[in-house]
Amino acid sequence: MRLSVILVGDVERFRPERGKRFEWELTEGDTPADLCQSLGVDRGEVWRFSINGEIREFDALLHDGDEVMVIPPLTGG
Amino acid sequence: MPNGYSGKMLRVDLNRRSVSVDEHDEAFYRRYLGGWNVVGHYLLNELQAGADPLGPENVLVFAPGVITGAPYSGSGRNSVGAKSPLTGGFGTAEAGGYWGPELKHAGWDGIVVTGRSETPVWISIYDDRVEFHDATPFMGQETKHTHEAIKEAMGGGPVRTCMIGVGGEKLVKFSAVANDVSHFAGRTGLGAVMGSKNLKAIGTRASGKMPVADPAKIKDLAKFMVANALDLAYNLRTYGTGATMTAHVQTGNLPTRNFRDGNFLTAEQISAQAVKATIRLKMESCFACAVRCKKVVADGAYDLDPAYGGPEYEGIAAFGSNTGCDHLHLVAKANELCQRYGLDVISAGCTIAFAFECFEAGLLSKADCDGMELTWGNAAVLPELTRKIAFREGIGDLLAEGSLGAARRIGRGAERFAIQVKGLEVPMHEPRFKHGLGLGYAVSATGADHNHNMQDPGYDQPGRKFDTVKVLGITEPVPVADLSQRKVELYRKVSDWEVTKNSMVLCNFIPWDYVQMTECVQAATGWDIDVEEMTQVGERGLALARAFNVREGFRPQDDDLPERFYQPATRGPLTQGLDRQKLAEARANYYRLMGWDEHSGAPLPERLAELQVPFAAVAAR
Repeated sequence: MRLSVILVGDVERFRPERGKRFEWELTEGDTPADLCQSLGVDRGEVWRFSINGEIREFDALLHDGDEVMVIPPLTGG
Repeated sequence: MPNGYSGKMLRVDLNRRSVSVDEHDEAFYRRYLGGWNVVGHYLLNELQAGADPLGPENVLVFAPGVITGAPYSGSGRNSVGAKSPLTGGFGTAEAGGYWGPELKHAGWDGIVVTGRSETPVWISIYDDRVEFHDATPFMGQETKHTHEAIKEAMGGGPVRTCMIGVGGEKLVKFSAVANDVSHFAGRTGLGAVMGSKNLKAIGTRASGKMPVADPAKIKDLAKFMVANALDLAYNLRTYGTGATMTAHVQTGNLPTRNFRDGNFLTAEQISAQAVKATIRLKMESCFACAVRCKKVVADGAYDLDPAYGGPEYEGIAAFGSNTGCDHLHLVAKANELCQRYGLDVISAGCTIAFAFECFEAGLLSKADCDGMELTWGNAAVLPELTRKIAFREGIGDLLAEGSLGAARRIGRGAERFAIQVKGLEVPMHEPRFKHGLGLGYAVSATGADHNHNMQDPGYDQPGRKFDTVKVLGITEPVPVADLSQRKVELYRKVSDWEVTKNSMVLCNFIPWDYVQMTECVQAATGWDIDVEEMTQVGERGLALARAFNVREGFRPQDDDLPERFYQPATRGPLTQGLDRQKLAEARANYYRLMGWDEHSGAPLPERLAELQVPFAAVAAR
């Protein structure tokens, strides 16, 4: 399945796209935890995911066409 | 010869235009570290209960800490404190830049200002030479011009300044104190206290350096942050603040239309990414800092002067999403005018948002607003409203009282639109999303303040941020939307440390962990201080501030949130308000943990004795 992905804040640094939305291929049935592993994003730096505008956990099911935002802990600033 | 401090506080009596020196011993500095705690010490010991915050009797304290001026990241800050004209309670705020280190290098651990000058005055400090000068030519000038004039008057070179703008002169209740033009002690209206004393500015130039105990260790700490800032503080170093606004929208954390509407779908247009892509010239730093998070912006069409730096997240959101405005240039211009005139961007933006909602509700008319239409999203009025507030012109004179003060004058139920705690406007972080932060807003001695608070999402799952609090004895993550006993215990530890940081005085944006922060103090002073003793420094500061407020008449019912936060937002992710009963229970639990009386909120005498500040019990009785 093909996802539209954007990394926000400190987790942006794990990808060369640096804040730009990009397409990413995963397998049907994969989760945001799998996405982190696939992208090389340290999950200890991730708070949650916005999937099509809904805040979801690491074990949510992803689907083809999902828009995913990888969100770090939203602290000050 | 002590390290990290000189043992000397400069006293300035403006009634007599005289100076003297307060000498303090090592125990004083180890007990307090500086900053917030030194403010608390002087306010409790020297200010009479019930004093007029804008009267000559108020005591204005400028307080760096024991690490200020040691050359590693985050050590460029100082506190400013007094009884707040905005809240009537404990007032303190911190600013970065270079003035605090310069004051320490000049041999001073702080300045205590009393009295009132009959005519406008500014003070020059060359090491131990302190002189008074006529400030009449600087009155009404923008901060940049005052800064440049003082630099010239002091012979040029590395002169650092601390000053007020027009807002402070006009006693705007949320006016700020500026360091070096672009760094502000914004909150609680301390610029008005400086203005009430007719003190326009303090220019400082040092010939020496503050002695430190372990220069090699300081060098190691500095090198660590230089090597790791781009990794550990990537976001701040790359964009500065305001680069996660699209994620704020997803969670409901971005205050929108006076905290009413819950999400702001065009947030990207005013984000730090948009600033970088359009008006940003470069990034700058405070003293010795490797993170370099300070934006510098310019735009000829809107006369954005790079001398004033650039907008931080708080200003972008307060003037932007919170007024429904997504016009980046006008939002940045309103922010810049706050810097030209010396206003707190949070209170300014939020008080304008309050006025917008009053306008919508028919409590303010177009005639009341000098012909302006204060409708959501009308960014065109932001710069003019800001200017009018600074000069107290027309509608600006009303809004210069802050949202609560203005609401009381307007009457007719306008107080429901004043989103504040104890009179201090709520900053740009949502308590309906972050419940521990909401508790913090409620119990803070300064009012709704994020500068000694907790940001819950860092601690609700294992990870880099959560790992830092394990050394404080926190073993299990706690959910963001939670006010259980475990959340209160977490909040207590984190907020104790926030006040420790505001005492030493350390920037919150540097990713030091608690052990490294302790090492920063050890290296500067040579003390064998440990994490536990550092934690207690913060608790001491909270007890002093609480005792001060109790003496001024504050009670537990003042430790509450605006009604709006007990209701859901009109749209967006914030579908539930905070639970009133749970917040009340959390507050009571917090009092118990802190050793504060459940009925009065006053620190108990035995706890104050344990904290080595028994004198505060007199205030809290």
